[in-house]
Amino acid sequence: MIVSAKQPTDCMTFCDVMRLFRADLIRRFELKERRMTPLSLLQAFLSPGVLGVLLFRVGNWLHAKDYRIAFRLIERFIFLITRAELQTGARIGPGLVLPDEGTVGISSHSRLGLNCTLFALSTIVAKEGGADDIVIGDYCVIGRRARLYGAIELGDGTQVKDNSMVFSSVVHPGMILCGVPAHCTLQVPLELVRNWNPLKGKPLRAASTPRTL
Amino acid sequence: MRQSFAETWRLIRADIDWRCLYERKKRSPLTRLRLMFHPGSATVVLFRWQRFFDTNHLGFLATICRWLNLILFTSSYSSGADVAGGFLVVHATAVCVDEGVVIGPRCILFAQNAISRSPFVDGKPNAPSGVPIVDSDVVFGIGASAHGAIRIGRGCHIGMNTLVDFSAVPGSTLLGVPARVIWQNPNPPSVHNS
Repeated sequence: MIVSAKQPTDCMTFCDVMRLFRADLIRRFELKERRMTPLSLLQAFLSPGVLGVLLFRVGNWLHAKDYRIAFRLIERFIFLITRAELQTGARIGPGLVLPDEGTVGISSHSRLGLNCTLFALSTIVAKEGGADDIVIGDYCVIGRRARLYGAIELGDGTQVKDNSMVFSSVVHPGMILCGVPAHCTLQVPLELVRNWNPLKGKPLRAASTPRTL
Repeated sequence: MRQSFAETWRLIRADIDWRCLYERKKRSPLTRLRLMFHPGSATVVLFRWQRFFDTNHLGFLATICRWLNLILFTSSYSSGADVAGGFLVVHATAVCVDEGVVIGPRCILFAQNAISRSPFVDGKPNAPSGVPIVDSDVVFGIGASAHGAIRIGRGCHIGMNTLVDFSAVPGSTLLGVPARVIWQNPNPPSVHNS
């Protein structure tokens, strides 16, 4: 289930990083329902959401190589241009999309699956002093200003609604969490979540296929 | 739809005038100029120019406006949003207005608001995917957000950190995640007396 979130970063080459970023870019174009042309690619690279993800991937590689000054600098640069705090130690699967141009917070203790979508001001933080990771499954959608706190585990296709705060694990797939503190309001089939376009609020044009390294 | 220069200027004037009224200041040219550089007004002015450039095939300038809004105010406005004059953002931080959203006149957004289409699957594959329509004189508290194909009636007040995902009748006060109506104003403000 959450295997893709546990990708090893220590033995990652630069080609793997670029492959991951390519998957992120393809996923973004899929969700935006745009064709990949030179002009649209240029526009995408001017978007802070894409730049933030690219820099995060490079920073992740530098983190794995233990180039401390370089990845710290990249973290600061990401914050400067996108207002997002993406700590480079986080392990994030391919297909990460930050649709609201960044402004998210992901701590280094996080492990995200493939094709996750994080909206603005969503925050994923580990408990202070906690050693365990936050594990989030594939195809999760984290709404605006949603907070995920502590060593929790969310199943595949979990959707956290806006302004919710999640403190406990929900491992069943396809759950919708809402409230402060969050509780499960509905369970939808995982297949429906996989083929859902969170940016357009409707099913994807073409059924998405999981991408792995 | 193409937005002319005169229309853009008229909208900006309406926004600044509404801010003068909100801050109880005299509407003198100097006050208007000063308020134009207030962060809350500046983000709205940038959005107006972004929409003007985007609808007049000047996408590069629109992208610059979008970037400035993001870097300076961490706010993102879509050029496809139809926002009437008298739009007030009190504190310009992390405001998100999605494509196709319709916002009526004299609406107030405090900070960190999101008005967008719903990104979530609700179990109904044929459910209408749409954007909120916000009527006039609606106040969004700090962190309040509205999403989905809903209509927020005239004079609604949405409390802090509230998530609205259903239509609200005019004069409602909403609070909570998910929102519930905690008070219903029997006399919601009309266009003439607000």
